[in-house]
Amino acid sequence: MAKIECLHYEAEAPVSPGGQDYPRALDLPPDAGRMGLEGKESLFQAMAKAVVDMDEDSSARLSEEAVRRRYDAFEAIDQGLTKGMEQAGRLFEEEEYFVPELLLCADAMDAGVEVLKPHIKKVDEEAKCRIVLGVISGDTHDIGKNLVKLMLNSAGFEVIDLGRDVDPEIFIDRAQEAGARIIMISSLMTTTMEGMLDVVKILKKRGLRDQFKVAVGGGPVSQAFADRIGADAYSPNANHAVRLAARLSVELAGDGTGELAGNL
Amino acid sequence: MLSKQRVMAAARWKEVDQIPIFANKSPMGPKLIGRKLNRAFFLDDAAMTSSEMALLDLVDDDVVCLNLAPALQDVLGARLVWPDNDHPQFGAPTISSLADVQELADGLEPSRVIQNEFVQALLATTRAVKKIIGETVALEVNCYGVFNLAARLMGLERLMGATLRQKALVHRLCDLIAGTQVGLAPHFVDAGADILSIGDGMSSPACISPRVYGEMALPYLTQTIQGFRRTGAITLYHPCGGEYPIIDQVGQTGADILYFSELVDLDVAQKIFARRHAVAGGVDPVHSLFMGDERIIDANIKQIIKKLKYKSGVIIQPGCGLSPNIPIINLQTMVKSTRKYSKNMQ
Repeated sequence: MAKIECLHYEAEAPVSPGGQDYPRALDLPPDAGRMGLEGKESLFQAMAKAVVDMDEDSSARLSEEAVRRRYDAFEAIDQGLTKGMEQAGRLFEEEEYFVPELLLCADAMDAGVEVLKPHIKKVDEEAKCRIVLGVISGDTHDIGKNLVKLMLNSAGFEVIDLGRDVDPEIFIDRAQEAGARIIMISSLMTTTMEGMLDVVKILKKRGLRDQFKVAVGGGPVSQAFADRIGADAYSPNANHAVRLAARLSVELAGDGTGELAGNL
Repeated sequence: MLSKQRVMAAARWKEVDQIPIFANKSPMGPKLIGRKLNRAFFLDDAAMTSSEMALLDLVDDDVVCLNLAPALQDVLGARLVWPDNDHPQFGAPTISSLADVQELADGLEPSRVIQNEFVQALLATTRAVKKIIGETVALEVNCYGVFNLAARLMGLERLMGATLRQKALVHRLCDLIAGTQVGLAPHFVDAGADILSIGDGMSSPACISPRVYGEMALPYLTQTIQGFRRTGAITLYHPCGGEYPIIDQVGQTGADILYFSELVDLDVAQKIFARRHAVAGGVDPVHSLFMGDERIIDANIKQIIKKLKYKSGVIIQPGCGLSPNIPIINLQTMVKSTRKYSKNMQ
């Protein structure tokens, strides 16, 4: 099995679903190991690679190194760990990675974020784009929703996770309470899909339809279904959901509310 | 030909009068008899029998399919959530370690498994249905595959992570599940089942890679199917979800019928597996059967049949299990259109 040298210690590279070594997410300088990743960019690249390689230990140790060097913690997350998660998302979309790999990449990212989080300087909470996310009532299948959440989080969106089996009214109430203007709803079953329509109907009934963007996704859901229920958007997978959220937040920003598109 | 003869002939690539059709109609049955698809229904053999017979009268497809999945989940100690009117769902994990698997294994004595109240209810249903339909219509008993059941015991996210980090746990659990399935199979064949089938979406490429599938799921899916085959029943395997990346592996299970989601072109699958395995599937359960109408469904079936190269070795079937809110008229249309377009096919 290939060995990757990072910061003078070695981490085993896992084998990809295709049986080959995982593709190099972000090429390190050929002499990065010998150099000890002296530059900031090299360190951030190694952090990204640790995430893509699903290597929690490396992610944490490299994050500790970023703290030791007094690099900006937010920048380390944004330019290091998040870049790795973006790459993992692309590999997922290209069917190089599957659900297990994506979950372990998220674990590796979390390991780094845990180290860096206490060192993040004050963040302008008002400037973050908030999204309310949940599985519609009657449905407890939440792995798709969880994948969307981790991809949105890693892209810098603030996700208010309502969990599974969520009543349509709750989506709207919680979005209003949190000041979130994007509502993302997941469903895996045709029996529960109609609950998504209820969210749209209740928004209309309350005179709030123009104030929120509603996006839908899940196994049986499609663009045609989204069109039928009057949702604003449909996402076929977790990685696409990030681009979708970015687009919707840009559209919201266009109406003068100043919403931001995560880190995208 | 009688329905059962048609199904058996298609499964063995022998001449058929028309392409058989499996409507996946069971979830719509309880409503027909004033019941809901819930826990009490799965414990009531008289209700399950009435429901299936009422559906067969209305839909008139070529199979009666009984659902062993709730029983098997109960046997394995899954903590389920029972919706008001739908299939049971995962509630909470019961397995997180090898010790948990060992504890489960210790409690799975064959005599206890067969006495499970859900198993007993389904065995009684199988006997009752067989008594009514005799040899006219094929009788299928269907259950989840090893990964679907493992996900009900571990939780899907934990299972997914475990495929890369706790392989021994996944192997041991899948082996135990496959053994339990195989142990139950002869009882259902004795009760009258002609077809034993498994569906396993959680080991499909919608979740895991082809490599992990080959290493961790395929051996146990094969163990189950081969165990089913030893009973003399026709076997059917449904790798539910985006199956093209594993299409080179699914035949290794040895299943007589490979049943694909609508994401696989039925005509392509038929050519790939010609005269080795029959194939089933083709019909889009959401756009055609849930959202569609008579015109859309008819066009869907016409297109599927038009593209097929062979009249035998194929069964028309919705690409996935259906929920109880699919209109029965849509299933009737699917059956009628299949007969209409396949009858005169050469």
